[in-house]
Amino acid sequence: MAGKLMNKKGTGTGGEAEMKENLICDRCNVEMELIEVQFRYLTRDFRYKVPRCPMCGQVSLPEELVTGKMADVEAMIEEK
Amino acid sequence: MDKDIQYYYEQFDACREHDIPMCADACPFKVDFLDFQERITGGRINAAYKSLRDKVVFPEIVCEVCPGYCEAACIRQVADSPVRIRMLEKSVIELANRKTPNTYNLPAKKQRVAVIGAGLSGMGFAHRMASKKYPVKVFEKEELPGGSLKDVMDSEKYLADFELQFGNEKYELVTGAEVTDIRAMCLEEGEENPEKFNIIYIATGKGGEEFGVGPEGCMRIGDTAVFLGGEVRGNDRMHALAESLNLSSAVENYLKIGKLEYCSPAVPSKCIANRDYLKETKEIVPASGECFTEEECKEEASRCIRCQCDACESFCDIVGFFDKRPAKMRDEIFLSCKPAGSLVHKSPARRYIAACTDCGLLAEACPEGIDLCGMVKLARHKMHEADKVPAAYKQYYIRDMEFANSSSCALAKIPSGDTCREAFFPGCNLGALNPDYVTMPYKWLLDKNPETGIMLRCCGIPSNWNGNEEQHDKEISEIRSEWEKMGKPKLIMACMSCMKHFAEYLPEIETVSIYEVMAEGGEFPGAAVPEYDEAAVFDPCSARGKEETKKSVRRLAEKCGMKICELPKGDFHGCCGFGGNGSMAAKGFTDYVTDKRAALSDKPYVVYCSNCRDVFTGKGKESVHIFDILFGINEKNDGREPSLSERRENRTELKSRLLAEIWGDNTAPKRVEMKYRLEMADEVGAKADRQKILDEDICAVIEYAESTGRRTKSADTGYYKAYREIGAITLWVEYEEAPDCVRRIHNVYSHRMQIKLEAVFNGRKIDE
Repeated sequence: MAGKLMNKKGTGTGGEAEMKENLICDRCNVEMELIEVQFRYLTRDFRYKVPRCPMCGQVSLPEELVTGKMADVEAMIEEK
Repeated sequence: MDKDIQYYYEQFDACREHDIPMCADACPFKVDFLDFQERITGGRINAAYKSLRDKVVFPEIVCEVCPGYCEAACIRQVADSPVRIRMLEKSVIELANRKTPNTYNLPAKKQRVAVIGAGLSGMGFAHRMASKKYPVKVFEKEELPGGSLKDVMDSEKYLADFELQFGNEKYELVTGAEVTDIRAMCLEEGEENPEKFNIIYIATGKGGEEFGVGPEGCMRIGDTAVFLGGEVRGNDRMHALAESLNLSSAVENYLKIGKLEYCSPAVPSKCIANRDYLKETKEIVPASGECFTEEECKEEASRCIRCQCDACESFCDIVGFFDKRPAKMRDEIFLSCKPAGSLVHKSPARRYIAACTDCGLLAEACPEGIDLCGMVKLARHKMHEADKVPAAYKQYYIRDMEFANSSSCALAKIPSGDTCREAFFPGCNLGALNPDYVTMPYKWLLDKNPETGIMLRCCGIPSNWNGNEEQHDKEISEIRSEWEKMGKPKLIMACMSCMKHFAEYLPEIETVSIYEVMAEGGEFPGAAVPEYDEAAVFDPCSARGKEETKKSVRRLAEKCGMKICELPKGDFHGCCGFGGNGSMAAKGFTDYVTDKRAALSDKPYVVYCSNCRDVFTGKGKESVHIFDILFGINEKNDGREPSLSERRENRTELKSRLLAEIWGDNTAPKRVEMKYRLEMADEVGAKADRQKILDEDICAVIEYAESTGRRTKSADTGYYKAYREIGAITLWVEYEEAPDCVRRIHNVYSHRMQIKLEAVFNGRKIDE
């Protein structure tokens, strides 16, 4: 699971979230798309495709991603 | 911190983790019975036979002749009867069907070995040397080998075992040949003679000839080393054989590097059995009368409780939860303590260092006194210095401490005059649970002594949990100066953790627990006794060894008519789960700890630490605080634990009530102001609490979303979703707008990773 969000060196590789919800950017009134976003935790960086507004770049993270993969990766990095 | 990490590191040299169990220690051959029984329970009878033979060489003989030192040492006899190891061995020998020894393709050696005496010891030594491919010649004065074995065993049987075990090894046996002078067999210096020997092993049996070898057991004649062993040295049969087997290594050592030294005796094991594992079992009796069947072997082997020192696992929650052996933890902590500039950028111990509840039990429970607790405590400071502690671990606790010490909650006041001789220090969590927990005892104290002052604030323990020495020093000096301003009163403490903390960092402050004060005398007209048949007193970890306080609590409960009992191990248990940053650093850790403590007794608990009551009630363990009983507080409580935000309000409410009721001061302390009124289902509130999210944080997210338009709307549910960084965490809120500034919260979740560069998209800055 977490492997997709992070390679052996702990720096980012690709991977993408699932778009289950039909989300609309409240500012631009357009549908969100899966676009890469950069994350950082304890000096390590990753890239991952998550729902993002194609106009303004606003990010929206689904709960499954936050409590699933992201939490796993956070715990893993904390033990490195 | 005057001790360095090396000091703690070295303590682990004494760790008994690898000390063999008492049965193996008592065994002359040090047979690894744990491995032996594991092979049996795994159904690997032939492998079990092999492990036995590797250690004793002649399993059939040993099994028959050995008096069973192992069984005499078995701890199980305290509960019922020892594991029948000898019967297991006998049955394994009976059941095994692959007994042919293994052959090893080793190069043949040149040095020649003579053995004088073909008794058990001589044959054992001959076997070890022959299997290492040394040319071995055994001299026996009688017509048959076996020596004194013939007195105790059928000769056919032992001769058969000799034959079986020597099956793959070449050796020369000369019977009817009494050696009277070994000098003729010894090489002169520099001599090479195929008729003479490099090694002579003398095993002439009880009362046999020693050929001038002294008590040290070895000597050199010319180029030949002579060793004496077996019963001639006063050993019994089993120790004689075991010694000869051990000696083979010393001899080989001599042949390889020329160092003449007798084998040293084994270091006694310091393993202690954990008697808690001893549940009464029934000894298995072989149905056939002679030997166990394979099934019976498994059943009997499973009676073994596998004694190994596991004090750390039993008594330390971080060792138990993270399932790491102490030596591994030592190494990981050591690594994690490397300073920031070090070449090693590793912090494998980060999570459990933060999670440790600081109960200090292991330092008392470890039979070698290894102070893992002290090491973790020091590591917290080192990791803070190296900036290795994730901010998310400490954020909530530090904010909570700061709030408790802010003008909204903190108070240091005396009913009249400038100074007082006594002041009440309830700790910050008691009033947060329910202001009555502080107002009622305080009024009781005022009845006794109307000059009693009060200090509402946090004792500063969270900054110590983080190893933030600077912040901790600041907290401590603030407390000191407030206390000095009040005239250095004796502090009457309601929280045992605060009391322990003060004893360590503010030793100049005289403290006494409020329970001792209350037990001295006084009435409790509002007392309400819960309808329990019997309740167990759960002493907080910070009260361990505080006999006066413990006695006082019991006296108070009994005075009110409660029937109380003790936990199986009294106060010898760890924290209730409240201490440390475990709830943020390791998912599941606090639940693990609380469940373990709650399971100590089926009975409801009487507690006298607000933190204990807090976590037990939160986990559904029936418990009452002694103040619930003395002041009838629980009756008024609807049984629901206050949320984190309610706790903050309770603290402010407490200050406001005290000011109004004692000092007639109706200026309300500053309360937390929020732009929106939040409505959320209980489970959403509980979810927020678990993540240590406050209502004001949720409001901050919504406020930010609505002022910037940064939010999304779900086409399916119509809910808005927005996020904002709250310090070290990113908080997501799903909500619905409602009139009158009401916001209905449907979901909250958070993460620690930062979303980077969101404001820069496709090369443009979005929010500017």
